[in-house]
Amino acid sequence: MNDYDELLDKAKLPLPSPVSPPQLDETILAYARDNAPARRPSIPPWWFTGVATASVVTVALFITLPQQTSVPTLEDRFIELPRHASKETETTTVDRTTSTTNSVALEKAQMTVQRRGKNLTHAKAKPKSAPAQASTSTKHKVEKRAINDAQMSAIATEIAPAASFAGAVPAIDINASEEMSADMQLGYVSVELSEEKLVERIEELAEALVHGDEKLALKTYKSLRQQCPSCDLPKTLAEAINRYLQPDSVK
Amino acid sequence: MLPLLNRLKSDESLMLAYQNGDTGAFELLYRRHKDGLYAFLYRSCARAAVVEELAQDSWVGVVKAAGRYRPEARFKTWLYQIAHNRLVDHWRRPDSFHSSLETTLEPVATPAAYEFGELEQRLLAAVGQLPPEQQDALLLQGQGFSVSEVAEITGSGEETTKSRLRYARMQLRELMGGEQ
Repeated sequence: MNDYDELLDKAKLPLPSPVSPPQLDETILAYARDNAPARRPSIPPWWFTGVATASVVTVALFITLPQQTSVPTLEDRFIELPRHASKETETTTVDRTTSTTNSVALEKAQMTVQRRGKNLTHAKAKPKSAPAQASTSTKHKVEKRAINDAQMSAIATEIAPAASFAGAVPAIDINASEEMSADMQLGYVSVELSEEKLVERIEELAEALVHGDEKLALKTYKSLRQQCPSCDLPKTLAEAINRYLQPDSVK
Repeated sequence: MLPLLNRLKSDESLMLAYQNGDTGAFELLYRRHKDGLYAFLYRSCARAAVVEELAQDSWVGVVKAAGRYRPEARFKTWLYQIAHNRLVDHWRRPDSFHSSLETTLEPVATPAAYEFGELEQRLLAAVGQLPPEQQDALLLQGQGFSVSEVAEITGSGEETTKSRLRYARMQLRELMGGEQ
């Protein structure tokens, strides 16, 4: 084995070893500088984004939450009632109940009077057997009552939580239903109807039945039963008529 | 201070530094390997114009792949793998030639032109007559790679690489011995 074989075995061949030309070096280094990967920040960008988003959301929540509570709502109007309103209505006189500005206060007064066992002197009170001699017919009366029932049902559902929260008598300002009778409001605000009112209602329904508005009468009676479960009304209108009305009361 | 620290860093650390945008790290890395790679390419095809093109392509490949680089293997192995792939692509081109077909070697056209000795010229011509796979294995081993690294760079098995190296040496001995 000669020296050449030895070099071959060690893979150290005396091959030419040219060096990289300078212009090639410049070209490659310039390319590397121009196309270097972007320098990474020490903290990832998403971290900043996350913190910024969380801060904005927190500030927005702090700003919007008080504004939401300051927006006047129907519930707020009940809360804003003076606390002494309920006491006032309990001790009010009959004259006070005739005021039409606060129909709910009126009803509250009626209830108070009833509880004390006094006779209710109501402006709208009418004889039990009085015919529908006002300006409207019986049909119109029942229809109006049915519409009022629907309006009051919606309002009562809306105000119920607020009323219980405020602990005050809900002062319903219903401009849209000016014609609504006080006793109808009572039927919704309170869950209890007096015997007198109940008879009055049944009378109206009986009159409607007599005048051929059977469908409307039955429908109104059904809703009346639902509104006043404590009245223990019979299942059918016929039974109710038999129970509450005298044979000569329907005209 | 930083360049001094960079000099103490491994190839892999420098590459990761370049991955983070440190161009100085790449420059140091380039200076460490540029001549070795250039010589390997020159021994493989022995034409200055082609060698420069291949060297440039290889380094551009490194720059482009820098973002995806993971220090799982030695940087040098990765660099030569890129260069080897460029070389194979070059050989596959219809207009390319293999150095074994060339009768005369083209000197490196640089101001610091390499002065070829007689033995070097004869040896280079003999290496050029080897089949490309044997030539690659022999030249890569000459760059200091182990058999397993040569196998990794060329994408072949270790036994195959060993066999190629054995045949390459035998053939080279014959070629050089016949001339002596």
